[in-house]
Amino acid sequence: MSEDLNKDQIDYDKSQLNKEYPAGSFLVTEKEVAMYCNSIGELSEICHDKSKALEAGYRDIVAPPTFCALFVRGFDRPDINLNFGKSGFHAGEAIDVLEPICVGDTLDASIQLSDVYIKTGRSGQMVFIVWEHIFRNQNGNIAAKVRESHVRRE
Amino acid sequence: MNLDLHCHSVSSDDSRATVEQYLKWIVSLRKKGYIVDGIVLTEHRKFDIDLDYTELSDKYDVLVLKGSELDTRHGHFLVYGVTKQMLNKIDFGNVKMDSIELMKIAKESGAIAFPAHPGRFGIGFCEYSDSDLDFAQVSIVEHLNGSYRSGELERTEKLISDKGYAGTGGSDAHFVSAIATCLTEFRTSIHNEQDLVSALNQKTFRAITLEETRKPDDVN
Repeated sequence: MSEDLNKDQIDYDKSQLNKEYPAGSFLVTEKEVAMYCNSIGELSEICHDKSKALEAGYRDIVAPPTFCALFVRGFDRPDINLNFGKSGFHAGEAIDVLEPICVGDTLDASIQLSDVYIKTGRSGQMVFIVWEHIFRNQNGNIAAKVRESHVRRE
Repeated sequence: MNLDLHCHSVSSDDSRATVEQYLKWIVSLRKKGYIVDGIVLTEHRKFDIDLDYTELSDKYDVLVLKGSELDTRHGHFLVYGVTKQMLNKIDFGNVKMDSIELMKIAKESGAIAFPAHPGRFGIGFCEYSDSDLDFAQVSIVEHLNGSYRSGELERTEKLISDKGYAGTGGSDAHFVSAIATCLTEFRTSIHNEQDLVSALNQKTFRAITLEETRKPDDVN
């Protein structure tokens, strides 16, 4: 079916590319940060103790760098009507941390389809769908970008 | 000199290693007695013409050159000495490009292209080498590849033996500690991509493993 596919021949709704959708607003709470720290074994004092965080120059307790990945799980993504493959799975996640995220911050998230591309591996052709999630803080600065890849294979 | 001719940095979609992390790892390998002189970044389906690694190269005293690994309809191909002329003629993102055309254009542009990990199942040149297509341009293949699975090196060595190809070595590293596990030993000095293409064309090289680079005095 897809033996001779090239990138520009991938059948999906291309109008979705780089279109940014709002994905919600999140208040960073001390409870959530504490739970996240416990779950990943984060022991840094600035992630647990407000006075230590203030001493270190932060505005409040600091969330671990991968904290934003928590929110991504719950995001609804638009259907891009991809017509390829019989099975799919999560193919990876990359997080760019651009500003510290602290307790009390409000993060506005958005989601956009940043790329759809094809490659060939040992098992044949695979189509990768890359979603970028952008988290802006209350100052309008981008605090983090989370890129998630999903793969569909023949 | 010993160069890892095949590795991927974060510029490739499936690698998480930065170039600087690779260079730091090579510095630590040297402290253990291994001789690794440089790497060639062969990012998937792209060529980062504007990226300049001179500063990093100078900082760590490791040669950093750029090439590419392209998906073709006859398996993956490594390309060295990529020029603007070549970039204008070939869509590097085309995963079904004709490898015969690729090799021809590379040669005309002063570059060189040859099969990567030919023994790899599914995407190796071994799957196509005995077809009716004219692969007379192929005289080199990647021999040692750090990412081979069981049986793939044997397929590669049979191909090399049957066809009389010369063979290079590369780690195919996608993460830091995999860098330089396989290398190519050149008899001539290489300072840039043009030197590399020239040495490849002269076939003054052989594939080696990292262990083979160790100084005799350091072998326990």
